[in-house]
Amino acid sequence: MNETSQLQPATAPPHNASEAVKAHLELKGVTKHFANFVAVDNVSLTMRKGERLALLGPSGCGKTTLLNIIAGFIEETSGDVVIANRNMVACPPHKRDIGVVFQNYALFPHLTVYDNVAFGLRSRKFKRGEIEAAVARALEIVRLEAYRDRYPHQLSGGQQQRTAIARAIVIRPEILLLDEPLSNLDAKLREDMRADLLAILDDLAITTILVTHDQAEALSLAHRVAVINAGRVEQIGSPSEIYERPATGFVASFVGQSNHMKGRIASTGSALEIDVGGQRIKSTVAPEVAETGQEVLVFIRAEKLRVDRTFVGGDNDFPGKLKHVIYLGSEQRLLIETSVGLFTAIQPVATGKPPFMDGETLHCACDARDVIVIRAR
Amino acid sequence: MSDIVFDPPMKRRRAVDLRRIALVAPLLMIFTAILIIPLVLMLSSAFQRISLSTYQVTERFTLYQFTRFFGDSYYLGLLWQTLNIAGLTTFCCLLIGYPFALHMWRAGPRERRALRLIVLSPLLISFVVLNFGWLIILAPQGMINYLASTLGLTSQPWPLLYTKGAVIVGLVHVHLPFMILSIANGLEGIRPEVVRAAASLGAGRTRQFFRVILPLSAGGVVSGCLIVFATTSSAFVTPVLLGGAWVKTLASVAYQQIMVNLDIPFGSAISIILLFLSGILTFLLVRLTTWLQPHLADPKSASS
Repeated sequence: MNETSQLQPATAPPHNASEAVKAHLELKGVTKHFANFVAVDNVSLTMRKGERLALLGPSGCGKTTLLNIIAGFIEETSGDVVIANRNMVACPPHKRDIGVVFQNYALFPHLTVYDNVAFGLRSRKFKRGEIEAAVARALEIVRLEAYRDRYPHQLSGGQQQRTAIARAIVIRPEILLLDEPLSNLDAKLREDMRADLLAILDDLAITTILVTHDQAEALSLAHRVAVINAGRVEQIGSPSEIYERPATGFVASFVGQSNHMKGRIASTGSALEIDVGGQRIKSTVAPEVAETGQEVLVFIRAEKLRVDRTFVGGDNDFPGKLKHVIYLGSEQRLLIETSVGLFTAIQPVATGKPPFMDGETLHCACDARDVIVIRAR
Repeated sequence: MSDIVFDPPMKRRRAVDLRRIALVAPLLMIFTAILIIPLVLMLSSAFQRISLSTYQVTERFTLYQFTRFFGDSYYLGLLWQTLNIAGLTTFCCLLIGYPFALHMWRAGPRERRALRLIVLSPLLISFVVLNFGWLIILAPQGMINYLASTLGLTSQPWPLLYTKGAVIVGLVHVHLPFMILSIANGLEGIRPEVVRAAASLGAGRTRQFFRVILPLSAGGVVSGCLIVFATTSSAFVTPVLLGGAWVKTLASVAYQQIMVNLDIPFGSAISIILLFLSGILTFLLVRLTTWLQPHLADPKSASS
């Protein structure tokens, strides 16, 4: 999670009053059926000009299908896609003015880096000099000036990725679509590339939709995140809203590492008290309407638990037996069997303290403001 | 220690090599027996000269057969006719085959399987039988002429059989599967995302086809043309069955020289000339492929 906070977007979406009112991209009840399977189920959302939205969800949730509908590669069963006030129904992809960076980059293998990037400009019948200048500028942005005469197969994965970005942005599209842009890169390169991508996107301020199953990618690159499950938008909000105030059980369990429990509201007041298997848990993060006796889901983020041999103070205390320590270098994961279930706690590796041993009794402390309560469906 | 470390891999490698040779040996032997040896024999006899009254070799090494061929406008005409038929057949196969392969590539898996079966169907039947089929259709009392005279379109039967057209029709029918399968193979190497990328970059259907699909399938097109041209330029049965004595090709003349006139050196020389021409053509077409697909030219410089 540390890397996420370091990579917060440097620019916020423009707050220009007239721009803010006008939606740049609008989806109205977009639905896609495949035979008897609903891939995208009544999705509506709007984006402002220059905004970056991440569609986050597990594989097969319909996020790529939605992207393909926006690009025009797949025809929606019902609903409307409106880009810059133009309804895109029955508009073929080549007339939509959209830049796409594909998951496998989909570079033209028979063309050099230069010709790949110039392809879109040539389709649009730009003049030779203009093409030359625009391609040079795009290659400069992605730092590939030295590779312009190479063929895609002569490039590394990261260079191919940057070529794909240059090719998509050089046409100055209304909307930029990124399909799992970093998933084909290995872990170390992915982090470097994520910082690069953030810098490039900040620079361009193009309205961008990013499809990903990687929450770090979504939280770090986007202004807003739409969490998608089974073809539906579960929640849409800023990265911190999604992370701190998940609206549904799916969002709470999909984004971040949490411990979840089922319980019943025991008392309401300034703080809720939830009865989970006999134990009372205090929470100040409550759903809008909370009534005594209502069934709820309780989530506690793994990194919000403070674990020690004694109770270190806080609103809630979960004593339990340590089952496993997973050492990850910068942090450690503790699996603790408590009376309300198996807890995972992410802790810094403490120095100057004897390490925790399997079988030890430990206390997990957490504050009421870190206990997320969601109404059970 | 070092012996123990280094010895086993070397032994293993040698064992693998032997096994590999064992795998290709049967084919290698068959190739040597039915291809290399006859070819060497043919090559040596092409440079001989025999007396056509005694059938004795009169000269051991001479270019007589070749000067005889290239000095005679009859044979040059035959050469032209052969290349003409092969070229037209290849062109027709390409013209019919490419759209079909393209449709097959765009079709769903079910339709694709059905179409593939249809494409392969001529190969399930001996092409002699296929040619006899055309004989029945094109003959003076055949299907087309029967229909035409019944409908009153003509009083005289059209001369359809024993024409260049009949030969080309027969050859196209037999060779179309090879063309379609080659092109389909080339098309299948294209990732659908690449075409989508072209569309997202503002390329309409035509530009998608000429700038992306066609260049990327050029390898399949060239190998399809190569197979069809090489086999039709040496085709023998179809020209004889559907062209009769009126449409002669080099292959049938070579056959006649060797089997009827017993002039083995001249027949060999004709075969060698034919072989040499398809060799040159193969070379040119391979060069054309690398020119069309520069990214396949130097796989060594790939960094990933």
